[in-house]
Amino acid sequence: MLKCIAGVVLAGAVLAALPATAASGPWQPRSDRDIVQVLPQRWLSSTTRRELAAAQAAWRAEPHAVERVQALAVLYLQQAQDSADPRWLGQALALLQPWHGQARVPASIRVLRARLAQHDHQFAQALQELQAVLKAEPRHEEALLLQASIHLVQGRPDAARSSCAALQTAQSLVLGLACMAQHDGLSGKGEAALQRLQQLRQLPQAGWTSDQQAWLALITADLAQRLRQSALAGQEWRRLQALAWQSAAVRAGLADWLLEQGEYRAVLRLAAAAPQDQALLLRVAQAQQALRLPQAAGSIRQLQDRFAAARLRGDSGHAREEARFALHVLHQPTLALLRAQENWQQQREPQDARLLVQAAFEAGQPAAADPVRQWQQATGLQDAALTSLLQRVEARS
Amino acid sequence: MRPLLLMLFLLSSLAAHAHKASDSYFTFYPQRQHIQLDIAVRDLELAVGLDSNGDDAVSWGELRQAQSRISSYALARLELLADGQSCHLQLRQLQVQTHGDGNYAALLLDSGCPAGATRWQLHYRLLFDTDPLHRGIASLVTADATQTHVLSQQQPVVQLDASGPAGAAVNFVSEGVWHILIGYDHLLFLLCLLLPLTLLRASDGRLLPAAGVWRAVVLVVTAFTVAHSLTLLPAALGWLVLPSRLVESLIALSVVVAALANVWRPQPPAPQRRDVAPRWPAHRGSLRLVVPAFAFGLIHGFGFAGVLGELPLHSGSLLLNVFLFNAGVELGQLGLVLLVLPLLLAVRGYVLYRPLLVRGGSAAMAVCGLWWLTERSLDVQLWPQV
Repeated sequence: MLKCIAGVVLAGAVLAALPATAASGPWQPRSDRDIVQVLPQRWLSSTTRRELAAAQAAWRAEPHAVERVQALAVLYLQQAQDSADPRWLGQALALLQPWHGQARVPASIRVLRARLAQHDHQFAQALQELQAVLKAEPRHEEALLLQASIHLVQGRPDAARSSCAALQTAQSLVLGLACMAQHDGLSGKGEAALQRLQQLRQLPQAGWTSDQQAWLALITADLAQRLRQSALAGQEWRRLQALAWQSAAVRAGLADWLLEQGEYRAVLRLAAAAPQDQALLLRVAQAQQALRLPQAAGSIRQLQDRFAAARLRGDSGHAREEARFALHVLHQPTLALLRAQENWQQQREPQDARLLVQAAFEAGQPAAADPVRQWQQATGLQDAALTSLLQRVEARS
Repeated sequence: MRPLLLMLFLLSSLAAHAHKASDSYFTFYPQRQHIQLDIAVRDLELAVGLDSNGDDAVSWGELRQAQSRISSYALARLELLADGQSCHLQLRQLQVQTHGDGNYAALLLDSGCPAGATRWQLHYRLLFDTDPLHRGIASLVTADATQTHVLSQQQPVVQLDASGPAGAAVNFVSEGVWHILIGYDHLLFLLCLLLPLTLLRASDGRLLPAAGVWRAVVLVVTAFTVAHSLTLLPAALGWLVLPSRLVESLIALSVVVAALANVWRPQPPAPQRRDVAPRWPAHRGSLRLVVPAFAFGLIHGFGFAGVLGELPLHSGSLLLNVFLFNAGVELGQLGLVLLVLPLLLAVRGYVLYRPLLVRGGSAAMAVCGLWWLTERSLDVQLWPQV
């Protein structure tokens, strides 16, 4: 109830501010040839376009056929992954409507629902769907992987471990090993995990697709960075930069690393090369601010509008970005701490931990970092940056 | 299969959430009878198709050409009611509105609402079939304030009230009052509870004085009220769900049982010992009615929850709205008791009161109850409705 009241109050405040931020009012273009809106299809390659068109036609012919729904939903999810644009997810969700409220739902539909719920940060709902799948099919690869990744995101490496172990007994040995390595890297066995990941890298790469290579590079880079092996980390990030295939997640991680290295122009180039990617705006704003470019003000305003709109419609899941925005762009550490704490309730990846501790430090509230300290001790997470942040906070308190 | 798995795994670390989901903006200026409905051009492309030359961009010319299709799409999925009457929405002009995430088609509408209305209800159905995550942001702009509500597939109806939150509160209370006034089955049951209480006798065998009857009535009606409040809240919040046919049939059954009990034994048994000046908790005889009042009250609560589905409960706090509705129901009940009981007390002395009003009236109510019971349990209509 408090949330509702707060929401209404905030909505009122936002609306009061809206006239200042949004354009003044409706307007009319001068000529019929003026472009009002470029559609996202513009950035699709011709192959993707053809694939989408074919899958959509197939689906329209039989909207209740599970394989056709899955085929089209996967394409939409790929687009969502590439652009971080939630409209693709909405479209995927629309495909699943025939199974809404039904008792008997095919496993593949459940996994899709879990995927969509997970993206919307409805982790409990996602886990519920996955448990239903795994009850019927205990070796379902996708469900196990997704379950492991949700547990990891929420900072429960032990729970993830059993899912990874189940994967290893299934046919996906390599996946299981990599899953395990990622888990180990987050629960105190970092050096061994790093070694194993590098061994996996030695395997003939011919059979690996580019997204598999990207994934391996991503988790290796993250782990190496946390273990202070910056040379290895740098190597993996450069490898990622060179890869043709990227997703919004990869670009975001890459942009964060570039920001840390102070390579601001590289961040802007990365964003320019991927105009469909909506998630990079935060990193772009940071880079523009660091370079003191005039465009920074526009980016900041755009981000503020986006966050306000998300709060208005009741979307959760933006707390991490809002906390970073408040901390690094707006330089408002108290607000950042509030958002970081909100974020901590939902997800606990290493970067969420670092964000909370840094916000606590800059807001002058060292006690707020205590939950992170306890969590790190419980899970055994190795993260050099986090440890030094915690030491600074302790020194201050 | 492999790429799918990997892609899914990677998606777990998707940090990116600084994006904008699908929203439309419905802004209503009641004083000017004007509405601005902003729909994202991207969303319209999915819904009605705008890009006629296939260049992956929508020009002003293409938007204008699609004007009538956009208008019929949007207006078919919107309904605005002013004080219960339908407003006739009409497109006056199409323009463009820029929001943070791109350009929107701005439909400038005349609201066509009857003049002088202060309460509106908006039914919104845009885009949910193509994107269930779509939200409608509805705002009511008056001279003193702007109210905003979010419409979604789960909550497609919202109440807009020019009189502010106090006015909205009054609205829920009055809905509660209204629903008990039109809830004839609830009223008949209540009447069946009242009738025997008017025939309570004191220890000396005479009719209990009015004050004693009032106390007994308060006790029994309170038991009924507490019971239906207990079930109304969880039922409205969705924690307890019973099939409505069962609930309605049981309510009808409650009327039958209570009425037949009055026919068989119209007055509670006389007191066994000397109950001098019966005090709180009221006359012993009333206690016989408390248990059935409570038990059936639980069922009646589910019945009230059933009508709540029509109300825009989710604008604001659900709990508060249900509470206010319940308060309205109590007020309505109270009003009825205050109206009916003095009349009954005035005539209870007459010799024909018991046979005619109590027994005869109860028999009539039993027939009504049986009628409802048959209709509801068998899902038929005994009397064709014109």
